[in-house]
Amino acid sequence: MDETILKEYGRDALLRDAPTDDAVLHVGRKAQHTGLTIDIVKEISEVKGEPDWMREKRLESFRIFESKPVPTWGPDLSQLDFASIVGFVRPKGKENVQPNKWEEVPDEIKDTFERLGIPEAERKFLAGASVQYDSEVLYKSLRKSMTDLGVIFTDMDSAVRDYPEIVKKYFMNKCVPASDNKFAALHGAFWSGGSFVYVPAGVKVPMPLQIYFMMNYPGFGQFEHTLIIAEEGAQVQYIEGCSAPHYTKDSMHAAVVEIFAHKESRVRYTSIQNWSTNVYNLNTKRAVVYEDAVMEWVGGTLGSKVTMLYPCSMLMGRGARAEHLNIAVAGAGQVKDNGAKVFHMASDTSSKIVSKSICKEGGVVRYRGKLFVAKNALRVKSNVRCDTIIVDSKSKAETVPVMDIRSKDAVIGHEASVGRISEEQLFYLMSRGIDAEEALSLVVRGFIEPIVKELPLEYAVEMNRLIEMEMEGSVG
Amino acid sequence: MPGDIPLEQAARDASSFLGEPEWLLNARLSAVALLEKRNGKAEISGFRLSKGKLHVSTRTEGEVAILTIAEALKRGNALKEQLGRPLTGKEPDDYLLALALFTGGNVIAVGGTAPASVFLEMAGGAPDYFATFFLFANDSTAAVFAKSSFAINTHEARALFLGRGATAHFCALQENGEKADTVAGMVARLGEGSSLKFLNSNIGSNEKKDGFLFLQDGRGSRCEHYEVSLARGRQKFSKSSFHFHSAPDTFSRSVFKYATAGSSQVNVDGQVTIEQNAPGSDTHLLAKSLLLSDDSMSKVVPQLYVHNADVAAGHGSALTPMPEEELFYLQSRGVGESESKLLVLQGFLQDVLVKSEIEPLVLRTLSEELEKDALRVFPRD
Amino acid sequence: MSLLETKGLKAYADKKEIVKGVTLSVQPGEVHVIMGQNGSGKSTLLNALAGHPKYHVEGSATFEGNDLFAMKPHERARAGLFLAFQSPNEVSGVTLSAFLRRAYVARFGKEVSVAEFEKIMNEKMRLLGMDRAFAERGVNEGFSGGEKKRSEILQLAVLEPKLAMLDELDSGLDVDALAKIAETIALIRKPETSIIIVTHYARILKNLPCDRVHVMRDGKIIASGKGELAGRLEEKGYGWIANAAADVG
Repeated sequence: MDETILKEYGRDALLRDAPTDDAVLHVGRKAQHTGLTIDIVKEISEVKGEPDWMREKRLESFRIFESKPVPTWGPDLSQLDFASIVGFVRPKGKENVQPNKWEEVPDEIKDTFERLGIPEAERKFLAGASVQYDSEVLYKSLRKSMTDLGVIFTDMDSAVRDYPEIVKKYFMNKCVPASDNKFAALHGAFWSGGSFVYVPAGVKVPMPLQIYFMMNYPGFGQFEHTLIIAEEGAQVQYIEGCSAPHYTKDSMHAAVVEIFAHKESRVRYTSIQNWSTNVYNLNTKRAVVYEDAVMEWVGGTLGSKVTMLYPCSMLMGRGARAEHLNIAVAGAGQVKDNGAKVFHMASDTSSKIVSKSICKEGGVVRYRGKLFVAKNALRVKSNVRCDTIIVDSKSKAETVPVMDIRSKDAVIGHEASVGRISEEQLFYLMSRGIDAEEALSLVVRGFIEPIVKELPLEYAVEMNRLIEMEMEGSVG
Repeated sequence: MPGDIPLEQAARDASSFLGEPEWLLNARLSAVALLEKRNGKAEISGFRLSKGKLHVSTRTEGEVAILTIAEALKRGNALKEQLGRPLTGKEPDDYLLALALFTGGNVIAVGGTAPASVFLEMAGGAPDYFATFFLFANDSTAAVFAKSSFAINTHEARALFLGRGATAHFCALQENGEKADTVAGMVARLGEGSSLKFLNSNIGSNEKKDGFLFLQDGRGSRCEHYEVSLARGRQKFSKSSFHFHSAPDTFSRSVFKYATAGSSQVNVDGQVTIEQNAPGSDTHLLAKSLLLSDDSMSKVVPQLYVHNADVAAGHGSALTPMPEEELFYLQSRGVGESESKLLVLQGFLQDVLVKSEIEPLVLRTLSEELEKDALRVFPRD
Repeated sequence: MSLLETKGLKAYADKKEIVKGVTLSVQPGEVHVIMGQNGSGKSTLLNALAGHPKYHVEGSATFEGNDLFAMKPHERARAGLFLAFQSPNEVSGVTLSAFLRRAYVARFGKEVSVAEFEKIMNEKMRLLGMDRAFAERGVNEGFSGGEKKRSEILQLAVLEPKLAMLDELDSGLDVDALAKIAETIALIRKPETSIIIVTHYARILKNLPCDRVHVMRDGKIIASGKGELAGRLEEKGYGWIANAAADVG
């Protein structure tokens, strides 16, 4: 984070109330004995053959991790078992990865694959039951076409080795430093895998980079670090995840995504996750957006036991713009604690946030937003629209937006609504001969349309189908 | 620090100082317990046992009784029925503190079914902690204008208890001295089928802190909460408002409008919760801020917690600068620069008053005071 | 002395030049009509004369010999300039009567009590056939298009300007309503009141004799003439004028 802002406002003023606050430790002594030691960190660095500067960063991160308490302002994280991740952070080559046994994969996940029409080969991959995905060829040609454009697209580990100057400049520095929050620090110490994308000035990457197909990806790692840099005038779209359920034995994911959108560049980051319901998904995703650049976050959070996700856009340059679009679905036993953070630090910046959530069968969905407009930021515009469908009274829908405005030349609007699926709408459709189930699916599609229309076709189709499945039987 | 006594001790002292019955002491102690559960054990320094000389001037019509708390206690069980109930756990801290420690105060009781009106002005000589309890009997109808003008720091616990089917229009104006730091905690409890229109406004004060709880645990109750204030100079207004729907078919509307000038700050925390046992709830909260100067600040956190699916719930928040087009329109009709801003500001504040449809009788004074206050920011030119 | 005199008046919105040099002269009591297609700069011209903050101006303009651009918008209004907007703003929370009273006091420089002003306003409203209740509503708040126009005309009637600039007052009106508006204007104006009407159509002129017609295109006045120019324009369309030259007839 820029020193100037820190100086003027103090870290607390900026991040207070934001999901990076330190709060009173209530979890008790148990959490302190994580079984994670600094030796493991050193081991990781050594096995990867990392340069000194990266090892130092890891060690520093670990120190920060130990010094911070588990945040208590959000969902209950008292069940988080840090010790359980030890077994997984030890680096292993592709050869040493133990795939899950297909027989052990829960039936309902297999069912969903069936209903979504996922091809056989993909199913095994998604279930972690196979490490290889038969698209080696596709991947190779993708990489080559990127290189032809001058775009660097590789895994993060290789990037540290092959492009140290760039990585050193950007990695966990000005965007998400380890000091940001406990899970960023955890990540800083144990990160492994992820993608590195560097787009040189003026280059517009013609097709979206779909990480789903990346081969050098040791499963869907727990602590992936994604670093995307778009130089002046560059354009790139990056898509990760997919809406089909991912089965994994990992219980905690603490990924970090750092994006730098330089002057007049345009970056779209699409992320869809549907982790199995044993996962704590605690990510930190942030973009620094410079003059006249545009940052778009498009997301769908469907799975996991607890997801805490608040993509953050720092609008540092004049005319910078951010758009956040998100769908969240929380079913039985799930908590989706998500939102958006936008910091308007310069004039003529604008932001738009659309969040659509559904909670049912006791699921809990929360929108936590932070909108900050600095004192000297003029002609700032921001609009937030946050709608939740609450299907039954076992579930909970909560909205907590924080608007901290210090400039008088700002036009800010925020609107939220919570309620059932409109009976009138359903009735209207049925009165035109459409049956109840189809009417429901039409209404739900309409509800999530603003986000789904921004997804590439295959994803959109899958997303729609999946949500329909989720909503089955939820009327009447 | 020497002179500090535990909160519990202070509460006991206050209770025995006023010679209260046991149930009231227990109410104080529950307040202490709740406060300490939230914030840890506390001590209070410089606590004075003094009844103070609270000046209360009143004008009433209809079946209204204005009593000191001591008198009210002798008069029957109405106060006990309400205050003796267990705390819900949602009361704001400021209310609890003043409830635990009040050493003086009044009870205003409205009865009958014919429309009653109360004009109440409290000024000067208040003890550090005092309480004002309003009891609206079942099926009563009342319009209340309550003005507080204090030049010193004060801490008030205010409660509005609406009986079954009661209707109350309540205008509260705090017009305190420029140096006073005033804190008020208020609880409104709405009985079945009751209806409350509550409008609150501040003028003056240096730091003003208000915490409100509107408890709708009576089926079918209706509650409208309006906040209108202009913050000037170095004023700091902090408002936290909680609406709890914990009974079926309850209705609430909150409209907050703040204009900030000079280097003032307004912090608004507006929370609405619909509990699982409150199907048929209908709620909306709207917060609108108008920033008039480069140095003022507005922080608004509207929160919505919905735990039942049979609801219509929403909130909105908007912040705008002085609308250039509107100003030009007025100026193109010869209205001066400052005056055009004055008109827009007055319009912004008055808009809520008009739409609240509160009894003009009690609204008028508040309306006039707001107009005058706006003139302090934008004098006519 | 001219009432309004402009020389090479240019108006820019955000660096974009919209009015590209207009020279105009309006005498007391004259009615001028400015016609032109959308985007010709007609509205901008009027708004710039009234002092809209959005426009940056160059060139010169005088009102009764005084430098118009040196005056702030409210000063121009007090001097007797009036603009009837095409889409008047809503000013919620301020009643039309309260607002007009302030404007009246500003215009005529003398205090007037609420009661006195009531009388003045009632009289004008009666003249215009308007319902008294109209004045107690918020300025243009929830007004239909037609009501907004009536509100502008009422203000015109109360403030008795020296120069009334009417920006497309006739848009969206049918023949009858148009006739009524024209009648109203004729009714409330004084012999020395000047009017500049911006319009697309010549119809309004059937009820309101005018002294001069100007045609604007692309930010400039490309033709000026007497009343019948408008009629010819209606017949032959704007294309015809573009091909002909400046002063016709």
